[in-house]
Amino acid sequence: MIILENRWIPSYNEEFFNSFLQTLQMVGVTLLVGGLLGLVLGLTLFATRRDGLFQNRPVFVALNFLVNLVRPIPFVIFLMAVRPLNVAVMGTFIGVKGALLPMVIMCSMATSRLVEQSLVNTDPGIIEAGRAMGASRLHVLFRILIPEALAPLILGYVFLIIGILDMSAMAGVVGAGGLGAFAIQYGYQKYNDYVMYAGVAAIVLLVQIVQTFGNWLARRVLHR
Amino acid sequence: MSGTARPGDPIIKFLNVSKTFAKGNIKAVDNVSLDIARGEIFGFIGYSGAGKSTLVRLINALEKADSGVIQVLGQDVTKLNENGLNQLRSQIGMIFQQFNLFTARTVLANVAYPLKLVKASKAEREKRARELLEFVGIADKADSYPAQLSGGQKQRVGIARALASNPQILLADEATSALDPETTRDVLDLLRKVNTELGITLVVITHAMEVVQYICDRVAVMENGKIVESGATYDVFAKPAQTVTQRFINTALHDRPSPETVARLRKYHPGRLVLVRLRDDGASSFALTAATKGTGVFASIVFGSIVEVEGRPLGSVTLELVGDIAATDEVISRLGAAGSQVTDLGTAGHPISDEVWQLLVHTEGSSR
Repeated sequence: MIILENRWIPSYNEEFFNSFLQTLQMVGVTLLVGGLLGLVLGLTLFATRRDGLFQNRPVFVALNFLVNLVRPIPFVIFLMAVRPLNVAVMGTFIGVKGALLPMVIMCSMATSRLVEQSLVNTDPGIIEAGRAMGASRLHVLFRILIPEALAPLILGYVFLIIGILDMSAMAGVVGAGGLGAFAIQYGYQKYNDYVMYAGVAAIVLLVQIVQTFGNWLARRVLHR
Repeated sequence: MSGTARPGDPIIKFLNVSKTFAKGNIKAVDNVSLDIARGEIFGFIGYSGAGKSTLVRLINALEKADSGVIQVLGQDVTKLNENGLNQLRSQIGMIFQQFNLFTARTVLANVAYPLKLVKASKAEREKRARELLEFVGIADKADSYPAQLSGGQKQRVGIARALASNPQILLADEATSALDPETTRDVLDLLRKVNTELGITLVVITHAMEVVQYICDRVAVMENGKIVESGATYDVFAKPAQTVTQRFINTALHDRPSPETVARLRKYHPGRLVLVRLRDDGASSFALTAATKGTGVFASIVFGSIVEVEGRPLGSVTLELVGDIAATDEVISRLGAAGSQVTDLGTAGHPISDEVWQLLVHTEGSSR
């Protein structure tokens, strides 16, 4: 006999908490590693573009192609597609550990575009002012441009965190757990809307907190 | 030739310098040779696209020349590597039309920033930055952000920032073009103070002849990448050789009536209209009385403007001479004999249309 119940079962408490931790873990690691890698890639894209500080056509073309190659692949498929690489690097393609590599790769690609965009939007006159002062090109990039673009960068990263949350929900496919997987397995698939909405609510709450904090931070550093 | 500059040497020297932009194959700077002396205020004037911004960016190598020699502070900038360039640049301040301040930093941090590059200590940086803010007159804005300032205040920050590393040269790229006339005056006064009190050589790029008139010792007029005319500001104003120069002068002097103005003047002044250029020696103004004395001609001023250039008066007046032909002819010849340049516009009944004058005022009208 199948029991259809719309209610919270106390034994879910621990599962829910674990899912929450798994989500935090996936998002945290991806943001840190992928976000940093993406920053480097984005700076490279920006610097090597035509008339850039370190104009370099081969590097730009190659990197631009790579980003455009990876980004359009739906993440669910990408998770599977990178299995050989995943096994070679991480030793597994399942669980939280198996979800991390594809998440980091995808995240760094998305970040690179966000970073590139934020920097392109800074006033080129500021680069000229820095150069005219005798600042080296690296100095201009790291000490002048990044502080100038900090507010859009922060908002970009907030946008990114929410994208990572989305990816982490899909990582349930490879058994990585997390709030998304919890909502599907214990809620949707058991016809338990109550549990499903609890999972969704937790994700929404996370998004709200992150976005609010991000907005606050961006406003603090924006003096325009 | 490196590092052996003597006091008499030019601080900036261009020799057969050319620069072409690959895009559109535009010759932005075309075989320019020019010396700028230590301690002077040198102006480049020209319309947009004349090449003056490119030329001035060759001085601190923000643009690289295709050919020619550019010597700045005794060094050939075309032969410097990046490190050498960065050292040279710290001796050349630059200010911009759009100010280009760091929006994420306070006014104090903006001004202190160049000192970071020369590894000054934090206390030193702050002390120097506060002194400079005092010098440019906005010490009270130290903790504000650029977005909270007016245009004139922003340019003062720009000037303070450009002075932070104790430069010997200051490049001003359309520094007052985004400012209203009154603020422009204030900023130009400040730039003059930078020149006289700190002995810094100023290179001023502008499309406004008023700016040249107000602060420049010497000026070069640029058109299509070439310097078409250059010299002491007063001489260029007094005896322009090129049409483009005359057009710029007209925008600053407003002393010559346009054909339309002359037509209006003739309604009320039927007598003979003559345009008389004043020279700084005062001869013209004396000659006005002397010129009419005993001729029976009645002369009145109907149009004109006289301004100061390098502290000397310059301009022209349009006179109405009322009297018979022989008498007014005599007045005109006396004015000419006294050294004034006279253009006869004829009477309302017999107007004369001087072609050169028509061309000048017409071209001015169509360019504005």
